[in-house]
Amino acid sequence: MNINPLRWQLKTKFISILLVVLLIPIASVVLLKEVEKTLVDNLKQNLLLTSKLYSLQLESNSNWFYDSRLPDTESAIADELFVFPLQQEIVLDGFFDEWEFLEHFRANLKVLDRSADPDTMGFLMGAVKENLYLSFQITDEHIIYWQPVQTSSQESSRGGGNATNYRSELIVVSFIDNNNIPQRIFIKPIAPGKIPVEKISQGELKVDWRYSAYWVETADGFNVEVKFPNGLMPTYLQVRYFDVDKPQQTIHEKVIASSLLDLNPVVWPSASLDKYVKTLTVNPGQRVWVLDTKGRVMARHGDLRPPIQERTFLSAIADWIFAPQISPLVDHRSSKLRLSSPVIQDALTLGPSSAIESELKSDFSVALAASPIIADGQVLGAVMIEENVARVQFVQRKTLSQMLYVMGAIIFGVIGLLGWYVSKLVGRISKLRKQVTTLVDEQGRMRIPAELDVYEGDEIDELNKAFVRMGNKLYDYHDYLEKLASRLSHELRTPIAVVRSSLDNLLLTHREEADTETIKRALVGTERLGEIITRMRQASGVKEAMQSANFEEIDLTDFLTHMVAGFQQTFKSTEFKLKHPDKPVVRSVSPDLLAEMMDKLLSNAIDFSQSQHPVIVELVHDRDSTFLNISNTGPLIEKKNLRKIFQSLVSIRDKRNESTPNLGLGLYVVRLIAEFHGAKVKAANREDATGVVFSVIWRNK
Amino acid sequence: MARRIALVEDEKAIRENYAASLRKQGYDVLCYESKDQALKAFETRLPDLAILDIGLGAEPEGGFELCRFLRAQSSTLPIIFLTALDSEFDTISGLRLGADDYLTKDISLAQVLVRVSALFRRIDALKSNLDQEQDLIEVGKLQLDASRFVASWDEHPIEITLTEFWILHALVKRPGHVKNRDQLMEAAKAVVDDSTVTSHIKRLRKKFVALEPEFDRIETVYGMGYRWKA
Repeated sequence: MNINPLRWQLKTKFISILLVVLLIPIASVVLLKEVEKTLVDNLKQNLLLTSKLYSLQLESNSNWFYDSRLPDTESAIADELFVFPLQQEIVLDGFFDEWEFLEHFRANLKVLDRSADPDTMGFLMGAVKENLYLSFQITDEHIIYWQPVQTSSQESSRGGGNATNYRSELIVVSFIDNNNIPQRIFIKPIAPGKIPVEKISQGELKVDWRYSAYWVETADGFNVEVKFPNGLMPTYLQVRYFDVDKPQQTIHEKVIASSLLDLNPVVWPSASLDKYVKTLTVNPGQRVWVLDTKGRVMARHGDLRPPIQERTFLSAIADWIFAPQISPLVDHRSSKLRLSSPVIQDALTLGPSSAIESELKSDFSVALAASPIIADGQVLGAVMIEENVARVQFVQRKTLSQMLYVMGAIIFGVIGLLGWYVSKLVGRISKLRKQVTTLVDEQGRMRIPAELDVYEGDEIDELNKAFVRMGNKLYDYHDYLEKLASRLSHELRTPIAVVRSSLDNLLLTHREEADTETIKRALVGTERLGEIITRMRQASGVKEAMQSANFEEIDLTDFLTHMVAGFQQTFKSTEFKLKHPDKPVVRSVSPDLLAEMMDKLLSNAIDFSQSQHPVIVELVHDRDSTFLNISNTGPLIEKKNLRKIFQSLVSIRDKRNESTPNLGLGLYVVRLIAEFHGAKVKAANREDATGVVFSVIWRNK
Repeated sequence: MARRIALVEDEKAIRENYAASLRKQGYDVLCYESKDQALKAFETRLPDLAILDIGLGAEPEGGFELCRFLRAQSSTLPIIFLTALDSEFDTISGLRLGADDYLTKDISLAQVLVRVSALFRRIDALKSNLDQEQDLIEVGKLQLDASRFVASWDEHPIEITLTEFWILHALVKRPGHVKNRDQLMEAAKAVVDDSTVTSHIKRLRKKFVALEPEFDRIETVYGMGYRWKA
């Protein structure tokens, strides 16, 4: 069974393991996502608890609610107007620095006629220490100031803006004061700066100095700040702005008013509530609301915007893992004066409640919790806390970033260590493979025994040692086999001599014809036996001959010519053909050994060749190499045996001529001699598959 | 009086076979099993010819020692080495000690007998000191006396074994003609393998080269054999 069908390399396997290690952070990210849900639930729970705490605190200060003026606006036609607690007294200068934090509550009042005039009026009310301030921001391209005409003082006494025939910019504030008396004040500037506020008193328009106002021109209109007398706290109020765009007009061109007909009810939350709420500690991204029973906002504190995170490389990775970006803030409530939400409804009617509000088209969500404020068995209002869930996401991402830092460090460490170890291991294994490969040469012969390292190490060292030991044992065995033939021939020679001499003796004494024939047959047998033994010694004989070989520079073409001619003379039944280059091919060789080699190759060719086809001896010489090819027709050699055939004691082909013994040493001797001459041997089948070619190849450096 | 042949051989079967056939030829054969036995006998009386096995029992070179001893006693006593070892080293060692021939044990008894009688003839011829003109071959500086089995080059005698003499004789008889190994083998009255012929030729060349460094008369014709260059 193949347990490694993909044929994975060791390296690949180790890399796979490393990749598995990389799954750990992925798993932890998934886990963190799960944690997110829990965190959000916890957040909800926390918010609920906090809202309960705040509501309890407010319950003990229920007078703050009673102090607040909370008119029943349900039945009123006009919209309610809120008086916002101011942080400080306003300096009347026409600039809205002190109103800055309330700007988003500024109500944009509508133009009452249908003209396409873009003029607007922004209106805001604020109070501090029972001082009521009004702030107007009006866009108007043409400011027309009132020009009093002394001659028509009669007309001016009619009031209602009819002080003159010509109309000017005019702001009218109608209200019902603390004592339920309707009042009306007029603001019409003569010039920018501190301007008088007029009031109808006993049917006459008079400057009421208890009021202060300041008029400032701006780039696109003008600003007006008005201060009411201390303690004057209107319950209903209406502001109207009469616009004139051209001088000397007798009618006002348009009116912008807080309400068309009726006065607007004024909602005046207690400043103490605001103060209390401002003292609460709110986390970034968290906002606390105090609402009355109608859902009107009494006080608010906090900001849904999460703290700005420092973006680092890893937090970028964290962002990438979770979502491209934390969803943009969607704050519906920031400028709301009245809140309505199922959570608030539940709080006001059923009790504490919490929920998660999500935006449809983004991941942005807000956790909400609201608790009722109950005093004397009566619901006074509710405390609602909302929190941007992004804060949880931030916490999560921060955790992830930290985790990534730590894990990154650990994983890089592990990868580095493993990488180093693996490359070392692979290197050692490759080295071992090389060593093992060098133990055996191309023909499968053992090389000189390797030295055994004393180095004691791990399993690979053990393996290495085992290979070296095995190699050495194989070498010994191989050596033994090579010497065996030689020893065997020596040891066999004596018994053969005994048989031979005995037979000879018999032959000399016996005179009878029949016996003589038998003895002669036995002698022939011993002769063949002797021949076998001689052949067995061939290999070692050649090795000995090599030790005393004399090298001479000879012309190979000449040498081959003689050699082939000699063979032709001896073996008349076989035809020999010699092809050689025209020029002499001179090489330094041992002619005796080379002759021995040729003898073996030619004998081999003769043994297998078919007599009608010639044995072809070919010498090919060029700059790079010299080929000596001996080719004959006859049986082919199997591909797998082409190399093996040159090994010792390997006889692959069946000889047709069985009279001479075949020990498989002939081609081995050929190889020994060829290698001794720095050449290589090669056996191949002819391309046309009619026979075989044996080649001795010299590479010319 | 029958000629006395000393046969030193540790292998009883071979010893007795050789002895039997030699006796049949009318020789007086003295058999010795070991070096010491032989030495003891030789101290008393030297044989007319000695056939020595090189490896004697526990002594792998006992034959060489015997040869040295005999040669010291007599320079003319024919000595034949008979051994299973046929590697070149042994051959050369044997000849340096002055052996007259060197045979491997797988040679036939008939061939041994031929050599024995030939060596006796050589001794006889040397002793009689008679010139037998008809058997003398002269080719250039080489002189061969076929009756006495002696050779000389440029008047200098060459120490030559019987087998070598016959090979040289076959080559010189028809100078320029190539003799293949089989022919030489036949002439040497021996059935030995090709490499033995090659080593005999090699030794012959060396002996000539010792006398004349430029000697190149014995020519190898690769694939065919050898010839004497006239």
